Amino acid sequence: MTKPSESVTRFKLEDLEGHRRSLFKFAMLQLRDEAQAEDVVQETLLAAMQGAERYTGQASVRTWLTGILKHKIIDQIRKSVREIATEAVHEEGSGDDFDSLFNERGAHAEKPSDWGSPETALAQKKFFEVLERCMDGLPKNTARIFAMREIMGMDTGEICKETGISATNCGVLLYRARTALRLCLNERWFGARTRR
Amino acid sequence: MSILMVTCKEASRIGSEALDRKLGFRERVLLRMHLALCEGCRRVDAQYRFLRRAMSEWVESSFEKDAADQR
Repeated sequence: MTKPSESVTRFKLEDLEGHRRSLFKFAMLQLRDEAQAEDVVQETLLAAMQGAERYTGQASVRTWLTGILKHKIIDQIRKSVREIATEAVHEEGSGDDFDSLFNERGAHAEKPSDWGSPETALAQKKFFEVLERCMDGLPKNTARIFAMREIMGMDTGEICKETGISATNCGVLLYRARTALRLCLNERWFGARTRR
Repeated sequence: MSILMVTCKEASRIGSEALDRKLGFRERVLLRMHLALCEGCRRVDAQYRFLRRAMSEWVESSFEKDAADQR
C-alpha cells in the first residue's frame, strides 16, 4: 500500500492557502466579478484540501489546482451561459476584427515588428506585469475565452460546449485576444525597448 | 493574386486557429506557402507562439511567487 498522504503533507493547508492570490487572478480574468471569483477560489481550496489524498504527486500542484479551479469556473459559467453566447461576438472592438491592420488587399498595412529573441523577456518580472495589464484590457468575454484556452488549457470543443459559443466564434474571439495582446505587448514592451 | 494564395489577413486568422485545432490539408498548405513568402506574417506567427509560451510561464511564475511570498 502506498501512503498517499506523504506526498501531500508537503503542501497541505498553508501551501494551498498561499496560492489563493494566483487562483484569484486567474478566476478574475474569466469571471470579471470579485465576489464570484472569491467564491470559486474558496471552493477550489476547500475541494483541494478535502481531496488531498487523491493527489498522487504526479501532476504539479499547479496543474492540480488549476484543474479544480477549471471545474469550479465552468460551474459558475454554466449559470450565465446564455448571456455569454449572445454577448461575446458583439462585444466591444468587434465588427472591425482589426481590419485597420490590413490594407484593402488584405496585406499588412504596416509590417509587424521583429521581436528578436522575445524569450529574454520571460526572465523579467516587469514583463509579466505588462502582460497582466494587457490582459486586463481585453473585453470581458474575449478575455474569458482566452483564459479558458491558455490558462485552463481547455480545448476549443470543451469551451464551445461550456459557453454555448460556436466553434467559429470561438476561433474569432481567440484571434481577437491574440491580436490585441500582440499589439499591446508590441507597444508597451517590445516597441518601448527597441526605441531605447 | 491566384486562388492558391491567402492574404496576410487570412493568414493571421489561420495562424491563430493553428494553435487551437489541427488545420485541414488545404489550410495548412496555404498557410505554409504564405509564410514562406511573407516576412511580416512570419513575425506574427512567431509572436503567437511566444504569446502561448508567455502565458504558460505567467501561470507558472504566479504560483512560484505565491510560494516565495510565504517564505
